[in-house]
Amino acid sequence: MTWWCSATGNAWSWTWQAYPGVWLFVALLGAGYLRLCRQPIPGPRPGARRCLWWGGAGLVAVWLALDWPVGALGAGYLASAHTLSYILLSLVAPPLLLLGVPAGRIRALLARPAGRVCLRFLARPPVALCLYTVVLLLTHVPDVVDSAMPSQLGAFAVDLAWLVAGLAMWWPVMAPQPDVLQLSRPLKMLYLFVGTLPAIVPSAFLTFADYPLYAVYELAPRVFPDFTAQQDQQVAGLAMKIVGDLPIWLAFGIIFFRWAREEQRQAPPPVHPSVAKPR
Amino acid sequence: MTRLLRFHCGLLAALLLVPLGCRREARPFDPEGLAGLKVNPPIPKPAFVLSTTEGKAFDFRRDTEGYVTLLFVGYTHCPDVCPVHLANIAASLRKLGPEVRNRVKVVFVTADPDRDTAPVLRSWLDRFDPSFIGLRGDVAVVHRLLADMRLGTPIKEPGANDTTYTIGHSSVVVAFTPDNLAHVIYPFGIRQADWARDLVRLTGTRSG
Repeated sequence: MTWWCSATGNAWSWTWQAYPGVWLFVALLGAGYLRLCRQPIPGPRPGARRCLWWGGAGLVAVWLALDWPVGALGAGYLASAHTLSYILLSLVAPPLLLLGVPAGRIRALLARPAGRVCLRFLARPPVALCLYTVVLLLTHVPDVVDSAMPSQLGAFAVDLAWLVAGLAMWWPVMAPQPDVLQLSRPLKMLYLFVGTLPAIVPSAFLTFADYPLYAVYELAPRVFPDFTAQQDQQVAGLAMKIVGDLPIWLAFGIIFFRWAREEQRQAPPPVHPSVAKPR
Repeated sequence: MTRLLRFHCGLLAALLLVPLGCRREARPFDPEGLAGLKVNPPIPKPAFVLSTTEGKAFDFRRDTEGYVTLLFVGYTHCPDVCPVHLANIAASLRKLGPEVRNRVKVVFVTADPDRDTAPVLRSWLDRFDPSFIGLRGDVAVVHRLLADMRLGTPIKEPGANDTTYTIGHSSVVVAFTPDNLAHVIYPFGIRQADWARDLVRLTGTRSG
């Protein structure tokens, strides 16, 4: 029984395969999330439905990234599918999961000393960005990928690291103010812009390398006969930067337009020339 | 006088260097540092004749004389090793200059002539590189060739029906240098960068 998607070296088959470890992981994550949404919390508790919708969407993203076929293809066949898993786990699922967490629940966590220290520490942009960058770079080093992906435990560790790093990266932006930190909207936008930079490094290496970087994908049986290992790697590199940046720029846009609307609302109404006092 | 002495010294040096140069030419190929596995003693280039995908007779020894020749026995329905090996060789050859490419011949011998008809073999090889030579013929010749190189005998493994069988075969690419010997063989797992580096060495060119 294969519990987690890993590189097996077997020829790829489009026949569905079960990965019970993935289901268990998603089920545990879902159960924890449901508990978070349903548990009575002190103070007002808005948005239980919002919690379920956003949380559900986040869980679907996690499940898609880990299960057959994306998870299996990414673990041992295609670098591009590996990148898709990374995008889903680090850049799509975390903001959705964080969006759904009720603010009251975070207040409750902040009431505990350990929770307060941890959440406030992670909410510092340099800390969150450092963690995200280190995980992103480390999990794309060829030796790390080639030694982690053939083992189920190694592949699980990479997937988990991506999810945790993604949650950390998004936390300073998604954390409800003013419970955790006071990051103004322009600073959030600046933070998000800086958040797009670390991916340039692996993306450039993947796109412009002369030869395939990862043995696990170069020596894997081809999924599509005419799709070479080099082309696959180039698609992975481009997807990491272009597709991977989309959620970040989407969040950037939402923050910008909210900020602009608020500025407009707060600005004094324009004085009509007909009511203006004559000099 | 000095000029005459210089001339004689030069002549003497040239005479001393000529045999050294000749000895260097004759020095056997040194496979040290190559990514492939060193074979000791080297495998002599086998003599066999099979048909090309164009239906012409291909005398392996004669038609590959003077080239670095990569010989691989596999089959087009191979799900893993064969396409990966050939794709990696083709990709590395594409990256190397014509000074290397023009000195290399890649010869693929099918171990499954029943399914690998000439057009099937040709179109499959063309997916990797149209210059790859595809050979087919009597299975007994192929088996003898593999036995001569001590690479085992392909084993037919039954599939769901008569046409879906697989063939267990050696995953080794045998690299013959222009001295008609294989000093090195390449098992599965050799990467494109390794092929590129080794082909430059095998062809004796300085750069790719």
